[in-house]
Amino acid sequence: MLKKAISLALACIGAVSLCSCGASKPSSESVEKEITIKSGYTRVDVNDTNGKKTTGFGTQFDTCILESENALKADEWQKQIDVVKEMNLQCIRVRFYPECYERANDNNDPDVFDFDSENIDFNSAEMKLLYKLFDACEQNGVKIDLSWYGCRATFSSIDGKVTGSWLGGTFGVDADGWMTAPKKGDKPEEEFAESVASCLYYLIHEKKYTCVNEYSIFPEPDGVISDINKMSQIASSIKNRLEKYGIKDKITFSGPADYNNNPEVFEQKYLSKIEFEKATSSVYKFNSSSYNETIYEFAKNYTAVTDKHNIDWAVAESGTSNFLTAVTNSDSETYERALFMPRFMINMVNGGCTGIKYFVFSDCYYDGILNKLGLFCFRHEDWKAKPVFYSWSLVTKYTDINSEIFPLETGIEDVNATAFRLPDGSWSYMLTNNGLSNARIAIVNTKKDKPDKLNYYKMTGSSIPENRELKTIEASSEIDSSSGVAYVVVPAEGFVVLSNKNA
Amino acid sequence: MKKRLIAAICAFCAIIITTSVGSAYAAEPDNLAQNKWSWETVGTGGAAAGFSDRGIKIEDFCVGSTSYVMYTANRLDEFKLSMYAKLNLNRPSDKGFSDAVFDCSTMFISFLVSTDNPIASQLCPWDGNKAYMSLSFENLEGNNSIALYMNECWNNSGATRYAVASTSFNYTDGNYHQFDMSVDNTTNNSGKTGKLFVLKIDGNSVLEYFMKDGLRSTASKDAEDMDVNFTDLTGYFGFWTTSYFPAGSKSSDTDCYVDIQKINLYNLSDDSAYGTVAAPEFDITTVNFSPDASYFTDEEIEIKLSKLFAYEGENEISYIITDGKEAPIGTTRNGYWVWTPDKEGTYDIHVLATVEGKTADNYFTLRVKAAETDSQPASESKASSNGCRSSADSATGGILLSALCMAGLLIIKKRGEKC
Repeated sequence: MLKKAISLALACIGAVSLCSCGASKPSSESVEKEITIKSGYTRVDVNDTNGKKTTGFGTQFDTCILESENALKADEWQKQIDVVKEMNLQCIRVRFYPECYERANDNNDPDVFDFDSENIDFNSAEMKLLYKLFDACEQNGVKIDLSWYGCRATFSSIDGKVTGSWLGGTFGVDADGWMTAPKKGDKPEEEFAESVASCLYYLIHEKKYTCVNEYSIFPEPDGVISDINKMSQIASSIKNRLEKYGIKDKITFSGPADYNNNPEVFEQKYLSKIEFEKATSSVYKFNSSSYNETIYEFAKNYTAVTDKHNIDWAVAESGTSNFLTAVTNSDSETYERALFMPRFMINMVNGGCTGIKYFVFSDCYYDGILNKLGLFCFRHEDWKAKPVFYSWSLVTKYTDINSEIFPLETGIEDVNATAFRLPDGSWSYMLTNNGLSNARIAIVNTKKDKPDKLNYYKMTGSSIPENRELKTIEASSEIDSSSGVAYVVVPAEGFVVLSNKNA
Repeated sequence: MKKRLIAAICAFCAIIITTSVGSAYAAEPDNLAQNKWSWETVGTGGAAAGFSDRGIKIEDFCVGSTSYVMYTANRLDEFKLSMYAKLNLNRPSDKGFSDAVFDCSTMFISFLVSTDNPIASQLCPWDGNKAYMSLSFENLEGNNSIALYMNECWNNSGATRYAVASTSFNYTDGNYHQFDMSVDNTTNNSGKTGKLFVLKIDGNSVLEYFMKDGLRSTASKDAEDMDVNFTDLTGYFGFWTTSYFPAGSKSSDTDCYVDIQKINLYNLSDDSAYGTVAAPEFDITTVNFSPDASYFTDEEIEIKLSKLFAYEGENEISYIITDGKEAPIGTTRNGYWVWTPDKEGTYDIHVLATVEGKTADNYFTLRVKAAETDSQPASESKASSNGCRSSADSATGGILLSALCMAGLLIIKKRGEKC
């Protein structure tokens, strides 16, 4: 028995040694060079990419903000756009439904969409709001996931002519939820697919929008469509129609954005039945008390599933688990949330996730209720930034879509880090420290294209601007990394970005 | 009963006469409008109600933003309300907002909110179906009214409201007015029992209505168990405000607000005044704080001040931070103490916190070492070239982990469990 114990102990020692060595094996791109680091610093090597490239960091951004209940003035809309530019918002998801343009069935033939039908109105007030948002995205390089939530049973058109959904029913009459699966008529699934595909054709071919590069249907399906086979049927039908329209290669089908947060369910219920081109989840599972390792393992487990299907995995909407109501969180105004989001992001990308959208861009009224999960406040609070704006804007500003991800292992439980090589060749290192002690880190990058100088951006509880201006945190110093080493102090409970991106 | 009615009205008039009509800027011990602890407030959206020596100010109510202010200190049966207030209920069109769905601003006084667990939002009769009666002060284009509503809460349909009495009122005269309202159990001339409602403004009777007992729901006319006896009904009272100014509007832009300088409530059964609730007292105490083992010169030290003390009150704590010689040290930002030491050494820090006239001290010592600038030689790079992490932390961690594995196994062995 003792022999067995000793063998097991030796195996443990071996495993630990392998573990710590494997973490910093030389990068395949390394230029051989002897690197010495100052004492007192923990060495962290930029080794190999995990093979993933980012698909974007952004937010949910709905046309609700443009609806009359929010009474947005021109200068206030401009303020929103200024924030999009300031933070280099890369991508958004937009809530959408067929009733916005197909007020009633175009005809009874789901194989022939009648663009000239009197029931089709691509110039409706709802669509004009969409175009206003799209125009802003087009001008600012923001990519859009246009997400058909389902059929809107509570739909009430701005012109007052349409109530309820011709395809999903009317709330309180023949529909229970506010958003439903297609269920009315002879071929409701085909009618829905026809509506989605034809609208995408109109937006891409007629309106020439290049910002719409992704579409999704029934996000968080559990609440909308119970029959996944029908969802699969709709998804296939949309793809076939996009093929016929000749636009299939211009747009990616993503989903299911489910909230089960269980990779087995994710695969069995969705990925095995629906051919997504990009997998997405809705993640509100964690908060500032969550361990780095837990979040990292969560991402690893998901990526293991999506890798089998050869597709990327990203987060369609996210925040923390601290819900008070569907539109309020107990931590939405706190620094803890500000520190959580980049920590969440780093663990997720290190685990293989390729993108994250925060819910939601700004506080605004959704159907009569103030959604207070935004990065910044609503009018009555002078559109002031919340602490989370300062961290999430550092993430969006110093990355770009298609950045290569290089997970960094710090060996310090509370400190996690990742490196991005952006498409323009610049580098951004992002580190969070969830502990109570400053961490002194030496980031070693011996690649040919290593950065020689890096700007140092620091967020701590005390550095959140007191005026809550909607401006990203500025560099506080410049770090010389020409030797291949960037020395950085990551403050206790702080978030640091080192970047040579010319932002 | 008739005698009692007359007596009640006489007493009511006496109160009106003796109520001083004037501003109340000084602190008055019996003024409920100055005593926030007697009330529960809830604001949706941006609407808010604030208490001060000037009374209650309800502001920023607009589309999607409603303010509720409920007197929760006592459940009321027969009562009298004396209130000195300015109801500055502008209409959106008055301020150039022409697109309002309704050109309207309203303050409601809800009463007989019949619940054992009062929640301010229940002042809205269809929120919980608890508020049996409401008095609406509504500035609606073409109908600037004060209306008394009976809400069918007993049939879980508080949204069903009946205007049982109404009058007109000028909301934008810019003046404060004395409002006196009584709700009294009595018998009318036909011998029916019920509650008599009387409203007077500046001493003039403007509304009077007798709510008889045995009222049956219009929705369930045949259900006798739906009868309601107003005589038996008791409940809470309070204000809620709405308007159709655009979402997110502030009173500073709309000039739409309610300013209540003085409120007194009396129990009509014995004419005693409902008193104010004493302000709760909160202590501030020191929390054991252990700083990091050491810090480095030229590196910012940041300590969250709220972690040094325990305090459950709502008032702002002020801090004074000094060194061992009681000289100010560092700065405070966003509730953090921030200091960048430039010399190594040991520093004693004293933090004095003050709130509600109480103080607490916290002392701790910071050890600051010189920031090291020398480079670690060979072993680092050698380790690196072997592909191993070279930090002392990691190496130590690995050895420790291995040792722990071994120790764990030995413990398992010692307990005699099977491996």
